[in-house]
Amino acid sequence: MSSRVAQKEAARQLRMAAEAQSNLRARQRLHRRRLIATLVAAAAVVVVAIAISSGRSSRLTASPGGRLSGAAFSSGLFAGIPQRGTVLGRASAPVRLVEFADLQCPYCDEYAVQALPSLVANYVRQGKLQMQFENLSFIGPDSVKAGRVAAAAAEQNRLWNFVDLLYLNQGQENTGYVTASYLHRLLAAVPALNVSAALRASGTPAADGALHQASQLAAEEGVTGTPTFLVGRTGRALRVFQPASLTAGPFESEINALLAGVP
Amino acid sequence: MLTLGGVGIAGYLTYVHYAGLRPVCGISHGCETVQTSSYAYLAGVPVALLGLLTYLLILITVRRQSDNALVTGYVLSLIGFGFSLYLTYREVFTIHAICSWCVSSAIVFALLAVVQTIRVLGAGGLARPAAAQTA
Repeated sequence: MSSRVAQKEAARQLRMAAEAQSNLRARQRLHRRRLIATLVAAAAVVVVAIAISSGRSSRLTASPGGRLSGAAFSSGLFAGIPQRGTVLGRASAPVRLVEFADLQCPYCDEYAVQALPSLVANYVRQGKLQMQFENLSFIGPDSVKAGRVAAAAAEQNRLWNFVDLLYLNQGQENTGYVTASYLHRLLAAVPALNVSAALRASGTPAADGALHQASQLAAEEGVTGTPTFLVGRTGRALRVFQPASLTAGPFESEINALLAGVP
Repeated sequence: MLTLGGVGIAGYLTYVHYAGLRPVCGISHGCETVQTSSYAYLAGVPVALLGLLTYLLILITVRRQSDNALVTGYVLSLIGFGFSLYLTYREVFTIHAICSWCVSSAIVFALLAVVQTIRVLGAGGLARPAAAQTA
């Protein structure tokens, strides 16, 4: 009798042990699944953040209906800095930097994203540097369309805001992404700019004249590609500057040398 | 302690950003270059502010003892770590300037990710039955 009770007890113990083991395995499986889900969720957020940060996705898919990126950043960058036509910064700044660029040129875009913000914040805003933007619209019809509007923005002393915003939202070359709607959205995001007046001005001979003038200046200076930079002390002859990279470092070294009076 | 360190770093960078000051940068001199680059913003929001919010949320989760808090803190640490890695890559290979504050923050996020991983794996907390969870 007692041996049957003992057998039953042993069987019960075995069953309980099996159940416990099965529960443990189930918990381990659940743990693994939730861990994987957690890792996937975190990875997805990071990938989206990187895509937004690099701005590549928005640039490659720039479309008339798409959202502009960098508007707040761009308006903050130039806020309070004087602009006169194609020139940014105080006229009394001791160093001048002239850039010849095409609005569709990807390397010009690289410079605008990587170097320009630091140069504006550290030199132009401090009154040490004035910058001039000469627009060469040679890559294709999208360059010309955007170039005319840039010239119109220059008439309202807002060229730098427009150009920077365009670079932050640059599309693929000659894909027809520079539509009326795209240009309208860029202009609308520029602070203190009359959009209708700019659009009207972009269709006038004066806008074409500004592009022609930039091409002539480029020919005189022997500019053969974009971006090309001329740098020097204000009021003296400028010389071609070939940076080692399109990041702020080489430009800062050159400007610092000029500020220190190194010829 | 780690999270408080992160709050301090991100808080300082956020303050400097909104006060329009130059961050104290030590020997690297790259803080302002990094802080004024377009990579210092995510969808128009300063990355320093996003970092500060992330650290504050992690701080809240470590003070709570529930599984949900554990998972949330873990996810936030991993996101912070992943995005810091990306920003460090941008500093070195794109901006060519090193911001010592940003690197410190990346190290804090890396350590937080390690600590949180140990907590999650050690506790087996992700699979605790709902009834056993503490609020």
